[in-house]
Amino acid sequence: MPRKDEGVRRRMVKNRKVPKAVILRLTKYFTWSQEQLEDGEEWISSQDLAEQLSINGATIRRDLTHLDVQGVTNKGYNTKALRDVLDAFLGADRNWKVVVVGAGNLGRALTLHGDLARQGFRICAILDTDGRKIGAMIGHLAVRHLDELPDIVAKENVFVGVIAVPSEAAQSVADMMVVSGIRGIFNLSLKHLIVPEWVQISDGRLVAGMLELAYAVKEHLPEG
Amino acid sequence: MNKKTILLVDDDRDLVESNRQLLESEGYMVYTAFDGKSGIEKAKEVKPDLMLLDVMMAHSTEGFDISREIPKIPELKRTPVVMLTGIRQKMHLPFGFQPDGTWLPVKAVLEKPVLPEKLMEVIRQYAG
Repeated sequence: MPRKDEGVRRRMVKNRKVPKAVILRLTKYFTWSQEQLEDGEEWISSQDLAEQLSINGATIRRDLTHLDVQGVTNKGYNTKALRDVLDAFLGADRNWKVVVVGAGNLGRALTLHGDLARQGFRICAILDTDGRKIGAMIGHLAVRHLDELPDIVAKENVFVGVIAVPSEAAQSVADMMVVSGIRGIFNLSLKHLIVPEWVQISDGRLVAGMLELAYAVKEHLPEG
Repeated sequence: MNKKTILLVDDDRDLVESNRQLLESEGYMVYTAFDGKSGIEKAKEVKPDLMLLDVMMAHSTEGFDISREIPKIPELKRTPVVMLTGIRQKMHLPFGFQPDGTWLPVKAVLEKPVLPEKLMEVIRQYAG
């Protein structure tokens, strides 16, 4: 818990609606403050954040009001305290168990991705419906059949699932996740998923992101 | 007076037959289909007053897909759908589920096995 003399005061306000765009930027501040902490930087100014992340300083200060964080004059924010506040606000201070559905290349890569575990997202199962993949080892996990999902979710107390299957199978997997009790879905497919209001969706937007990039590059290419 | 029509969509043929007998004895005209795809085709053909829909058919959640498909078909968009499913028991689900505006646009969810009087109560409520 940060102390007042560290230049940070926090008051977690539950149920306060924070716009998605702000959440997206807060995740950037979080990863950057984490990097700064690892580099031994004790203080971060909003100007540093603005320059490093190419975000307007006023926007940063406004974003941080959602956390009720206060800096110290001429010093900025205490790096560890800011990281801890963001950590708690984003829920990254918990250990989340995660199930991945889809043992193709994307699911495999995600399961073997060390950064997720370092951020508190521990993949506890990877599932598929393809009989040829069931039982195959990915890291230390054997691929299990999708029918086992409800049991795994109940036994392991899992709230988060990742969908890494082709678009045509994604809604059916989402339905399975919903009825199994999953509360948050990270969707790596291209399909727009329909879920009840009480299930949160975060779209990986791989192709949408590439399209945005293509548009931005196209706009900056010389004519002709 | 024309009989009200009910379309039963379920891959459990024994259950379909027993529900057919029950509904016919109550004065309903009954049509049947044994998977989601043929269920939609039959629904377009007979335009039932109510569709009684299973979940686990061609795949574990086919009934969910069908329930979302029905409102998109102009001639069926007002057809009330009641879900009759054993998914909770079969998949050891920790909790049941309820109709939901977009995710599960049905009038009611009944869990198998359902008592005949409960089934009839719901059918009368939504099919008239």
